[in-house]
Amino acid sequence: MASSRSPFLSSEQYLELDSRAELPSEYYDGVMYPIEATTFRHGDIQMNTSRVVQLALLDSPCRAKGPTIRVKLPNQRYAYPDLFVVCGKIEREDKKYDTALNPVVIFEVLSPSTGDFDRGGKADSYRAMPSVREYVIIAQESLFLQRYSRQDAGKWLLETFDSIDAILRLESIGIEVPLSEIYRGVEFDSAE
Amino acid sequence: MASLPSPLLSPEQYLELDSRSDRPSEYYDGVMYPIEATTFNHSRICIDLSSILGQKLRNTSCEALGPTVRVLLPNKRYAYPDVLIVCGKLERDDAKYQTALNPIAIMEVLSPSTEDFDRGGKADLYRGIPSLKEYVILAQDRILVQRYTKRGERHWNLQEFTEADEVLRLESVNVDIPLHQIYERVEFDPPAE
Repeated sequence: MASSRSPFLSSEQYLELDSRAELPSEYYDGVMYPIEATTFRHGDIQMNTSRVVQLALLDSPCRAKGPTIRVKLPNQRYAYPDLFVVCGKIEREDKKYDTALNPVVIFEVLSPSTGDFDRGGKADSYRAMPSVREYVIIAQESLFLQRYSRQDAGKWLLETFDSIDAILRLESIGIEVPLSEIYRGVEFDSAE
Repeated sequence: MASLPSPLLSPEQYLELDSRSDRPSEYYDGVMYPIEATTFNHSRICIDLSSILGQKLRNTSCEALGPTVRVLLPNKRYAYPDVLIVCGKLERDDAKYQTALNPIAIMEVLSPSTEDFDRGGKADLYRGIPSLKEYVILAQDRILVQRYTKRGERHWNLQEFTEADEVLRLESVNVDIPLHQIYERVEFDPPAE
């Protein structure tokens, strides 16, 4: 989320503006937040993850989408996840605008400016979507990945991965993603 | 966290200043963040939760502390949780300053200004405390309690409670608290829309 705020907008006004804009914006509680430019590292991690997830899903009914596809969250909010997976037919909100309704897995690469929101309010919104089975949060400052996976009756399991040898298993879509692929070519500052 | 950072300080400088200060500050990466004044609802939740825990933990080996008890986080960071529970001997950082090292459970009541940090970076730091078994987040603008329970070195369960008649079970200390008791005095705003 950017910090410069536009005037209060209805969700219809937002959808109209966002669909015509050059730069996508997310929308929370009446305010549009343009997607921010990312660091090289954020971009590398996002590309790496998209590539391995796409490859792993080639022969499955599931497809990777993002990062310029809008997703509808509960309470009339809208976000652009870095990457998400839809299985079967992609459901859209209406015929006028392309807004996906049924992600099964969502990935966000954390940025310093949005990292807490991605893990706080936005994570709540993602977990509140009935279709979402897994939510994956990927740090860019260090090798650190968190996966929320839906259990029975409103319970979630949070698992943390911080080793280059670790393998992220996404049970809802039946694929495995090695952390060495997600972080391929990514270098960390030695101070961290 | 306040938005006005002081100059970069070492952990030792922070501890020295914080111990002499009128108002507690948290400390992250060289910066002191004074604890903010809270809303009425925040205070109601904290006080009622503390007093329920105080009652339920009587005659056990565990005690509830806070909100002015400093806790050591990983990587030499320091926080003041709204409520913390320690079982057995309370371990302290050193003889000079009182900093608790071994909370088994921590509870934070969310404020609009800090809620994303409480659920993001701070939650990770709390979960990184070796002694911690449960981390509980309570909203003040609606009935919402999120409880993280440690299941293994890298595994935590998250359970959400949103109904007044649900019971928050703290497994680490074997205590049950009905949500309506926590939120009994809270005055919710009518929905804006």
